[in-house]
Amino acid sequence: MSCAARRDALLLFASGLLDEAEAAELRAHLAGGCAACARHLGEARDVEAALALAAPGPEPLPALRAELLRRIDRVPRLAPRSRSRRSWRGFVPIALAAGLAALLAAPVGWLAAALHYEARSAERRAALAALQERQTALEQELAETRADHDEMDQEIGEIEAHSRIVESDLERAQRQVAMLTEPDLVTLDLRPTSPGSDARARVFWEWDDYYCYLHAEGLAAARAPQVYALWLDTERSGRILAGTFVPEGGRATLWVQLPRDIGRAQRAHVTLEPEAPGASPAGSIQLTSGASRPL
Amino acid sequence: MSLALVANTPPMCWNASLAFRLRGDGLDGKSVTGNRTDLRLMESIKAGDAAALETLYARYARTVLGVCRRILGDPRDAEEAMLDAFAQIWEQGDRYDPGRASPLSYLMTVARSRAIDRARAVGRVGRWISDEDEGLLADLDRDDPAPAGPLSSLLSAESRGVVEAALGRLPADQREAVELAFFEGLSHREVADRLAAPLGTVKTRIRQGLIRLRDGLDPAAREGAP
Repeated sequence: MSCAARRDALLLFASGLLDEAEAAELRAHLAGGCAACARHLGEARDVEAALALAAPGPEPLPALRAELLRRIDRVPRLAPRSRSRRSWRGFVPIALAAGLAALLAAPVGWLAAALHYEARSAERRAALAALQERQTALEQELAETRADHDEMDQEIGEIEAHSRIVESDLERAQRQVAMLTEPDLVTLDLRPTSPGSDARARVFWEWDDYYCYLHAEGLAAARAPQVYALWLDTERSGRILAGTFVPEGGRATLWVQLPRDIGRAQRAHVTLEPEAPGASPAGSIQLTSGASRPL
Repeated sequence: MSLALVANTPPMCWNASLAFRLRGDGLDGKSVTGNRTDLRLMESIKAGDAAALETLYARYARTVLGVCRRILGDPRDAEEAMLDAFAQIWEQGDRYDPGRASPLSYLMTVARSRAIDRARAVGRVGRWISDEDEGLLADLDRDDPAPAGPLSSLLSAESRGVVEAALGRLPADQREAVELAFFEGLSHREVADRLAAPLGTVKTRIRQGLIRLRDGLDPAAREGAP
């Protein structure tokens, strides 16, 4: 395959759409250090980013922006990483390896130089050869230690990413538990609009922090790109979209933080939207409620 | 507040003759200006300016959410992945190198990685690339990274209309195949089933569509076209 053909193939490679045989050839070629194909890999990445621009998702709920600000306020910025992948995590093993190499390599180098200029006898030449062999072995050991460190660094990065997800999920679960045990929790029961439907749902909310929690059962499956949407009729903002969800096995939950300027919600409705909804419902109402009441 | 802070940062150098060349139906001066805005935002984020992150979020939250939804399916998981991505941009702002990727490409790469992490965590099976290939594309830790191409200096939120126009110029069968593969995240086989077309035909349409799209966005390719 020529580099011109690889340039086209990279467009598919960047999106996981390339056949494995061609992908393997590309990986091997890139590993060989072809500068032109490395540039074209960046170009393919740009084309995919451009495509993402043309297919944006729905407008995120305002609460997500607040959640992001809360997260960045809670999470300290990491110390800058060096480009050579030597993060603070690997400092100790690398420092030990480097120290070992320095301790051993320094006298080796000094002795080698001394022997080079002064040696006359066969014994000294043999000693020089042995020291050079030892130096080569140490260099190889150091390279292997660095490779091990790189691998461990990558594994730690993956574990950190996973732990951030678990931490985030745990925090959300804790908030939900705290919310559902609030004494001033308000609830609304939602009933199906279709007489033959077994669907039912209950919406809880807590007005101190404007959290809203939906639990629904008996819902018909949503076929992509269909989604269910929860709408609230509010005092000051009229009908607003609280969030969207896709049931699994007929059951679904939704937990969102509402904007504080909407006033209290008076009624709630669940619609089945043909796709991600805009500012007002486009689908039919599946479940609807009466007025709010205290628990 | 965010925009005022951004405006106070010193202007970055850019090639005026490049902007002149870009007039026409491809990526234009507005896109270039948008790209410069993004570069300034990344600089401010690197310096710890939370307002700059808010502005970046306002410009790209929908784009990032779209990518995450295609990978994850579930709207709530997608929202969490989107937050993960912007939080990572904040935490690791010093890792962004403008010589290697546009801010938008970098953000999309981070978003895709975070969405795939979450997809694996929740056991979702989908079409995504291997860790090895993701590393090649992310290009974050290489000592000899590939330099950014001409598109990188042009991509920004302001390019959306231009990309849509370039998609609109594709032949209908190519555009349909590309949109199913990228906007709905379908595999070649799934696209073929959806269109009731032979697998080989679908592969060709997607490949040709992407090549036309790339050339339609790249000013240098357009100038060289017959």
